[in-house]
Amino acid sequence: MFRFNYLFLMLVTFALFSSSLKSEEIVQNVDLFEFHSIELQQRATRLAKTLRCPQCQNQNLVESNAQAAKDLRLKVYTMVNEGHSDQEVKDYLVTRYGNIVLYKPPFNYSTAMLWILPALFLIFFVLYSIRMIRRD
Amino acid sequence: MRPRNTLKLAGLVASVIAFAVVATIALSDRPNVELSQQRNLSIPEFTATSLLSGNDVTQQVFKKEQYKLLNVWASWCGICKREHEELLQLAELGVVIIGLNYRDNDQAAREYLSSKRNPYTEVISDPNGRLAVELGVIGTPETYLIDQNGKVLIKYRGELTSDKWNDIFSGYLNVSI
Repeated sequence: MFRFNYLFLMLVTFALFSSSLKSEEIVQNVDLFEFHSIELQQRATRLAKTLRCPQCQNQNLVESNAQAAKDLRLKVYTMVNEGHSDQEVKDYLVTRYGNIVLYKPPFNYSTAMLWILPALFLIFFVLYSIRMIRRD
Repeated sequence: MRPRNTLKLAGLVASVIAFAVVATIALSDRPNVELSQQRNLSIPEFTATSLLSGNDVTQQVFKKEQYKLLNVWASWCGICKREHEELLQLAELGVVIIGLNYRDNDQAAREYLSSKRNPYTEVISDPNGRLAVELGVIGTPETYLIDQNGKVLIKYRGELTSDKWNDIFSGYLNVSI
């Protein structure tokens, strides 16, 4: 009788313990993410490589092991796995984090300097060199 | 010879001025402040646990007052401690501040609030940073201004000083510190 009680108590404890384990929110490990197909996995990885981790110094979402990068990588993988297009994923991230997540920012008012300045420098030096050569 | 030199000098001065103007305009964009006029961001639907009461918190918490702040913080965050005094001041002046406790230990967060006083009307517990991803949180501290419809009007990243408050936020709430 004593043995049975002991066993019963253990079972009850185990049942309680396992249910409390279940109620804990399962944190998904991004490195073990399972895609529906290998094509999706390749597309998601390729896409994540073109996106910058906003918390890091020039590392993309795949390279970085910062927590923010892991969170975003998981988000990118989940969205691709759910069938969202690359553009939809990019729009989602730009809405929240800004153009900083794109390695190739769009051409607009705030990025004009970034795109135009190198071209201006090139034109200036070509013109300047031509003048110097002619003078000689 | 002389007019040519003068012309060269004028050209140099003009190009320096042009560069200064363009740089000033570009930098006045204030990289740590984001106005989401072209980038429309709203509070998503969510269900999380309140750090203070343990009850469920949903997006409804953002729909009561006209304007309210969302402050992303953590007990492990040093800069959050520096801006805590400003948050307490704002709370005393009647500003509704909702906290988002980012990737923190609940117990440590509660101890932080009880030892430093609590400026928040509600604190959303986000131990895995799930809601933070939906809101585009880069790091703590961040302070957002949110309107009655749950739309994020201002995203401010970094320490909230009284200067920054008066410059960026005070116009919406008529409160200056």
